Amino acid sequence: MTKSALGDAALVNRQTPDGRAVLRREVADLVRHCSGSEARQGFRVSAHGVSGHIFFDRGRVIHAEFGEDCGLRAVVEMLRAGPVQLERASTWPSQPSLHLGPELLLSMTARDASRVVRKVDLPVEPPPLPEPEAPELIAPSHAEAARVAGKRAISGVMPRWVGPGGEAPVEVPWAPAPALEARQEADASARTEAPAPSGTSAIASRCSAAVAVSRLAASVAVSERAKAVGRRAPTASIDPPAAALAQRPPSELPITRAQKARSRSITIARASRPIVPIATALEVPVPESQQGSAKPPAPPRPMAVAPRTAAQPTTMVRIAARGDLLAARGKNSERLAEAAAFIHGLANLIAADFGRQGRANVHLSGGGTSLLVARSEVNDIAAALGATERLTSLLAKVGLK
Amino acid sequence: MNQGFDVLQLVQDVDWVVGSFVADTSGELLVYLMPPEFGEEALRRTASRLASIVRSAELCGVEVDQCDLSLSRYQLVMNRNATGMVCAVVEAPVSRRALSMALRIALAELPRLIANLEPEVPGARDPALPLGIDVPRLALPAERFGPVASVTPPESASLARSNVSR
Repeated sequence: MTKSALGDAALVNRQTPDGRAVLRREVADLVRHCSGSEARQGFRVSAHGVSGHIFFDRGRVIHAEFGEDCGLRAVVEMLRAGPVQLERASTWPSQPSLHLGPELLLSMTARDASRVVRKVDLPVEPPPLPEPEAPELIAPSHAEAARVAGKRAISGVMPRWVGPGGEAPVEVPWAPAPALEARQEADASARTEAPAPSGTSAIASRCSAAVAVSRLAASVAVSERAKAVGRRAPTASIDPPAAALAQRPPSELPITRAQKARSRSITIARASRPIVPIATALEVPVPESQQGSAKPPAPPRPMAVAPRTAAQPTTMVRIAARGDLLAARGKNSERLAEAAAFIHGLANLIAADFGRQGRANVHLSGGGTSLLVARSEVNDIAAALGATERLTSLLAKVGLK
Repeated sequence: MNQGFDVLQLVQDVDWVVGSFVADTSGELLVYLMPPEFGEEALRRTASRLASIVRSAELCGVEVDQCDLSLSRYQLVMNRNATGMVCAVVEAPVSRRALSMALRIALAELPRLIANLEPEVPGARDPALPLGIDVPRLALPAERFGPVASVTPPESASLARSNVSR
């Protein structure tokens, strides 16, 4: 790590044998620094036996890989990894795989941002409602209610609320007239203050204005209605337009997270399916030499491959077209890298013989184990060796399943 | 069955199969049923390279019995056992289940096919086979290593030596 990379040479912990500086910091700090820089910078990231790379170009992350993850998942995993070892990368991806802008990057580096990445949260019950005798305790800005609404909105469970003019309406049908007027005034002032916002900042400005107004209107309405009707008043988490609008994130995040959840559920479903031996399934006749044996054939065992799967962690490597090892995880990764380079070269020659230049992906399988060699989206060569069940999603991704 | 050759025709009957060929475990091309645009030399190289790919995977601990190559438009599917390997060139819409079953049958017939190949004179044509283009063709012996040196049995050599001395 050089002084220009992070601007703090005092944090350099040690040097590699070839003289390159190694720094130990959190990736969030790196992202915060590089998102404000116009330079092209690449870093090798190592933590907990997992390594990868992250590349910045004019403040944007254009490519990231970390262990078996690539793209946005890799960025999230790096952010979760805590303090990591950073050093200057010697390579540069041939083509970008990400376009994460500074705003989104900085929002991801927030301490709370990684909490909502992993799964889709289902709607939960709102917190217990206070008695109508204490209206000040039932303000819609209840911390727990806001958290739940935010998670719902990010996970994609809440629908998008879009007004006829393309902007977010804030409908509070049960609110009395003074609250609605206050909301409309504040909305108009927000529009005049920010005449032509664009992109993420536009959404953020609209959201912040709408949040303030809807909270104000809802608090007035709830307290007045609670006093007048004398029953339990609803909290802000029941107001779907305001809650969804208040916490609606930029449109990139929910799509990626939903894909990750879907791929995981597919893997789990396949792994839990009973595996019947091929001979039983096809009713292959038993050879005569085995027919006389006293020992009967073992009955089909469900989950027969599961112990082997658990014992064989997937080894994954990513190598450059010239054979440089970019990322590796698992044991015997060096041998896998060599095999991947060799297999990839031969597969390209076969493709050329068949008159097909371009990507040649190879999948070898046997005994419940698979070896996959594929060209990644940035023209690196990715290889994975492990249980076939675990590689199902990867195989489907490269069109070999 | 015509000496096991019709297993390739069986594979060919699966929709979206372009062609197929058989090689032994060392990657020597034995017989093929492919469109004319796929030359024999190219198939020979492909079989040899497939065997190398399998060997490299075995060094990584994979007991390979199947190999799939995605070559943009085409896919090359190889099933193998201890006798040899059956390869099929297919296009993407192929039914993988039907293809898998056809390749299993072909693999089961592979010992008989290879046994029938051994006594044959290289390049000889089986009279039982119908005339036509899409007929399995026997591959000629490999010539990539140049001509094989002639070997003289010891008895013949001593006889020749005695003739020369007389």
